[in-house]
This record gives sequence, C-alpha cells and structure tokens, in this order.
Amino acid sequence: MNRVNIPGAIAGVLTLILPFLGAWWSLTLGTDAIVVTASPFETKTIIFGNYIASPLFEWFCLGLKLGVTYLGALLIAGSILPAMNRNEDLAKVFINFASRKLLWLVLIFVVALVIFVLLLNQASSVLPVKIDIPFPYLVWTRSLSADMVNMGIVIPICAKFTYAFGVAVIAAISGAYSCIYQEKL
Amino acid sequence: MDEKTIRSAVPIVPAVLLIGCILAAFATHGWDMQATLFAEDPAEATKSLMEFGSGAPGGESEFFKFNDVDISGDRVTVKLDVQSPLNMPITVKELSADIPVGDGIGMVSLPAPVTIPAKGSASLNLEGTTPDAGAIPDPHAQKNPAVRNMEMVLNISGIELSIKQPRGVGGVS
Repeated sequence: MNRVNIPGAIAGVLTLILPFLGAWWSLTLGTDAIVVTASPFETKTIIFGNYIASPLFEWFCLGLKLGVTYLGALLIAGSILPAMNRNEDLAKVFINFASRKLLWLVLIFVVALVIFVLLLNQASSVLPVKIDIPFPYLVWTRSLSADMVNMGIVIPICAKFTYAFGVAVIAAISGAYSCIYQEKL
Repeated sequence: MDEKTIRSAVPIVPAVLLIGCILAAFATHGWDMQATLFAEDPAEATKSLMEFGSGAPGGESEFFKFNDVDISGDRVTVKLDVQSPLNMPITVKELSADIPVGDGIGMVSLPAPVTIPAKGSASLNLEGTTPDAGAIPDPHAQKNPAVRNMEMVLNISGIELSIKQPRGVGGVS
C-alpha cells in the first residue's frame, strides 16, 4: 500500500470524473437571457432560449472528454501498478505521459478564456452598449445600462468559475505532483 | 500485448480519439462542411429576434397587433395582441400610449404586468380615460384610431428593455 502513488491516484480519480462535472466557467446576461458555459468538454451558448450549437465542436469536445478519461485511467493504473509489484517501468511511462497533461489543459483553457473576454471587450467598443470588462476579466458581476435613441437597456452580467474548475485545478496539481512522487517510490 | 507495444500505443491513443471524433462529426453530417460547423443557419436564428426588435413599437410588425378599441363612457380600452418569437417568457412591465379620442388625446396604459409565454402570445388590455367624455358626440363611432407615442418596459429574463416610439411619428392602428 505504501508503494501506491497517492497523488497520482487522487489525480486519476478526479480526472476520471472531471468530464462529467459540467462547465468550468459561466457568463450570464440577465437571469438566463444569454448564457455561455464553457469547459474543455462542452461549451454551450444559449441566446434567448435558442441553443447555438456546432456539431463539429461538440464532437471535438467529446474527443477531449474521452482523451481526459483515458488520462485518468492511465494515472490510476500508473499509481497502483508499483504497489502490485508489476510493470513498474510501465507505471512510470503512464505517469510521465499523463501527469502534466491536465495542467496544460487547465492553463490553455484559462488563456483561451482571457483571450475570448479581451476580444469581447474590444468588440463591445463598436456596440451601443460598452461592456468594459474589469480585471481580472474572468470573475466579475456588474449591471450595465445604456440609453440609445428611443431605447434604454439594463443588463445584469455575471462571470464566474464553477466548482468543477476547482476540481480541475486540484486534479492538475495532484497530477503534476504525482510525477515527482513517482521518483521517490 | 507486450510492454513495447503498450509504450508506443500510450501517446497515440488520445490523438486517435480526437481525430476519430472529428471524422465522426463530418461523417454523421454527410461530409457537409456547413452542416458540420453549424447545426442551424445562424442568420435564420437571429432573423426573428431582429424583426421583433425593429417592429416594436409602431411600424408594421407581425408581433404587435392592435385588435380592438372600445370607448364607453369616459373609459377607453385598447386590446393589443403580442406574439413572442423568443424561446423564453417576456414580461411586459409597463406599457402606455396616446390615443386620439374625439378632439382630444387620451392615454391608455397597462394596469398590471403581463407575461407572454415562450413562443406564445398574449392579449394586453390597455385601459385609460377619455380626455373629456362630454366632448365626444358618439364614442362608439371611433373605431380603431391610431395609437401613438407608445412606451413600454419589457423584462426578458432579467434584461430590462425600455422602448419609446418617437414623438409624433406614425401610429399603430
């Protein structure tokens, strides 16, 4: 039991369940007039009750979902194989391959979100309603109001990370640490 | 399966899964690029929303229709049918308009907020008083006079939209 890579096993279990926890980040205009929910496994855009879908993107996300599930399985296998005194070299291969991938996925997701929000910020400068998204860009709540010719609009906006993102960060850090831990076994 | 095969297969599997899913996306949509990229034409999806916005209030719109104007005594009642193109309920919080009655102008308004169901319709009864009932010789002779200077406040799932018809422009009958 003391030869089990515990951080790797934790990362593996969390990585396995991660694709099924839903969105990592959400942007809501109004109560649910416009909702954008995003994670590497699914991105949903609902505008006034209309679901905007891209089959290609949905299939791509399914590929990522399967890929991350595979990484979770590798992490679990790589973590418990040394305790069974079997295929220790293979366990090292599994851990080395799978340990940092989720960390990269989390980093790429955050960078992509920041780029998306900054582009949204830029695009809003040509619209009648300027959004002016505050730093740190990804977590904020504000109410926008604008008066146009014969029209006024008030839009409450909320951007936030969900608990699933927290799980992803824990899984990513545990995964990265499992590689160091594996060397000590 | 020997260890060497597993070692070489480990990094290939995620790439195979991703490429397989992308190919499956095209295969399930008859290898049609546009159908694979968009489930429905984005232009069609936004068309109804734009029509709803541009038609409210005033102007020719299939979403707003004044059906009946009833003048009895010093009371004016205007029935407005509103059809929602949205997939979510809309609450009309406030609605008021001017209506010519006899030689004067009466004002009608919505007594209480009304919710229009998703993709549904609702009848709004606007009520008001005539400016001077005595000045109208035959109130029931006034059929469907033009409604103008309409103002409304809509709540669409938390987004509050105030729309005002430009003063003195046109009218809805």
